[in-house]
Amino acid sequence: MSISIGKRILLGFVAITVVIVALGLYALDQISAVRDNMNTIVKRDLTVARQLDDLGNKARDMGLLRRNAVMAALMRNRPEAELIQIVETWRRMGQEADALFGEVVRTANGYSATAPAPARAAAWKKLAETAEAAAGDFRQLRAVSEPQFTAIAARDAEAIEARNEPINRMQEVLLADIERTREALDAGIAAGQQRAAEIYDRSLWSVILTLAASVLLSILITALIRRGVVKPLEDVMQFAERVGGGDLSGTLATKGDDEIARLGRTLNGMVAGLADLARTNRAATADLNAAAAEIRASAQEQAASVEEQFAAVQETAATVDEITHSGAQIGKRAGEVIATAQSTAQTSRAGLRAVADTAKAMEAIREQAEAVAGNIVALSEKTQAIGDIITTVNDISERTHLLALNAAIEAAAAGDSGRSFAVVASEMKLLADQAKAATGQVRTILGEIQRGINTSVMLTEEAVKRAAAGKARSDTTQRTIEEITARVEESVQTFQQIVASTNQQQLGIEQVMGALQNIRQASQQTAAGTREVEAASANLTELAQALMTLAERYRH
Amino acid sequence: MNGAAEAARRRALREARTRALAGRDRTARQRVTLRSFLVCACGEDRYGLPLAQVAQVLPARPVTAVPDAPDALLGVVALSGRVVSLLGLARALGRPGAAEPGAGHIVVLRGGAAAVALAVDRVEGVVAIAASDPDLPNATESLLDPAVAGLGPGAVSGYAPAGTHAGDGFVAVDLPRLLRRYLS
Repeated sequence: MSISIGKRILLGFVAITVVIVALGLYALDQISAVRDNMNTIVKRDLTVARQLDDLGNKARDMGLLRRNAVMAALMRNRPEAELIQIVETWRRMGQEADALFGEVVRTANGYSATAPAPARAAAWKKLAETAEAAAGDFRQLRAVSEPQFTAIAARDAEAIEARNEPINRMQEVLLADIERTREALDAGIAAGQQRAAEIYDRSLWSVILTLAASVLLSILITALIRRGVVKPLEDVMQFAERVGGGDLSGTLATKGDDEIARLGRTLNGMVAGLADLARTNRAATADLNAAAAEIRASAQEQAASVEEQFAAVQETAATVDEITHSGAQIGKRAGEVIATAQSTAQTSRAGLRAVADTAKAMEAIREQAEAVAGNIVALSEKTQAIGDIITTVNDISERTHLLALNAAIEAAAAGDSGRSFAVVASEMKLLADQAKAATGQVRTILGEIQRGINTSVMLTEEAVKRAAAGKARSDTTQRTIEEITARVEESVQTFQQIVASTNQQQLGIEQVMGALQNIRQASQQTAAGTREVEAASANLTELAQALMTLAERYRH
Repeated sequence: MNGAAEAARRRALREARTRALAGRDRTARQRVTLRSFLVCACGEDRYGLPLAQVAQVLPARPVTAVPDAPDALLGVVALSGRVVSLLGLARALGRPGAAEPGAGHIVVLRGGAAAVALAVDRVEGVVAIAASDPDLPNATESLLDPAVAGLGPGAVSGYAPAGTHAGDGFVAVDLPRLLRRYLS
């Protein structure tokens, strides 16, 4: 059996399709027969019913015309022309109704001859007979009514009244005839409905039988296809189940050239590829497991470092807070220093005035000392004059000394006579010596005085120098104090700048605090993200281990 | 100079004067033979020249040097129209020379063959002292013999010990013996 599965299935499909198409065509034929029958019945019934309606209407109109003519004749004030017109109309309608009766009879007879069902033919025959009877009654009514119209034309009231009753009776007889004709038509319609029901039942049964035959045929074809297709497929499915269970070692026997054999070869290739894939997968899963473990370790490290970062940010925030406090203290201290420096500047201005006074006093002292020095110099000159006088006195005493000695010598030369003179000479010498000694003492004292004067001069000069030095130092001090004042004022400005800078620094530090807050939030978010990464890596590790277990399932 | 020292000095001056005036009568009444000496100072030494041989005392004056003269001969000076040889006393006695020439005093000697003057630093005064008594060789108030005083022979004729006169003791110079060396 070398027909391929595709061809087998195609064969079965074609057979079933042919059966279904034949069934459909038969059903359509039956439906068309039913529809033709129904059309015929309905068209005929409706034609006769419309003719009967016209007939009834004309009968009633003729009655109404007659009554109008009677009333017009009785009222006597109507013109003659109108009366004549009504009569004319009545007569024309009477002719039309007569023709209509004839047509109904002809039509019913024709339908009776062509009806396929005998029940319908009998119904039409009865209708024709009834219509024939109604036509006879109508002719009698016309004949009875004609004398009344003659009386109407003559305006004979009594004659008109006399004819009314038989005419009315005849009218009712006519209406009853028409009603009977309708009933005959209804019987025909009922016969038509019964005929249609018969045709429907016949078609139904034939269609059901054909359907059952096609179902049987389909079951047969399906069983055939199943035996040729599903059996080899079950072998393949068992092999696929073994492969699904993880056994990649077996192969499928392939013989022939149909689709199953090709499927088996394809499955063998697929299993070989799967075994290769499983080996690769196992190795890759091991790598994945290791990588997931590394990711988890690094995520934990990152979490730790994020914690450290968070702690560092906290410390930084604390430090910045301390900086803020210390900056505030700097500002406060700088304010105090400014106050102190301002009081220092006032003090140094007072010191400046005091130093200026001191310089003036020093200048006065120097002038006084110079005056003293001048006086002392004059005194020194006076002592010089005294020294000259003393020199003179000393010279005189020296000469007196020599004179006394010469006198003593002369007295000794004079012998005894000069003895008393020798005494005088001795006394003279004594006086001269005493004068000389006194002069020496005066000279000594004068030397001491001159040394004192010199010392005084030197001291005075020293005092003048010192006064000048004091003046210079006072000037230096003044300049120094001025510099100090300037520096202090500069310091005040500097400290005011420091205060301003510190305020700006405070603002900057507040911004830094805000930034640190952002950093802290960011690091918290980072910590949360890191925890998520850690959890994800843990999941990844579990997944990798599950994958390892899965990969272990495949034997090859 | 305080007042106390001034008062002490004046008192000492008055006492010396009083003692001198009191000794005036005693000297006049003395019967012992007295020899007067002119006491001169040369450097640290004091020499007594016999007053009888002294003619005049003069202040120093310019000296004209003499060529090829002995060491002690300072030169010649003009005195009252005479040319007088000027000897340095200390040099003549072999003592260190006096201070600069032109200062000090000149003692003009009397008599002798030639006119001689002695240059001394200063003529201090006239002292009268008793001649040496053989009976009282160790009397403190008289001129001592050179042998007794322990001095060597030479131009020294005696030694006046200190303490007896105003001032220190002095060496009495034998002028003829001294000048003999330069006048022979």
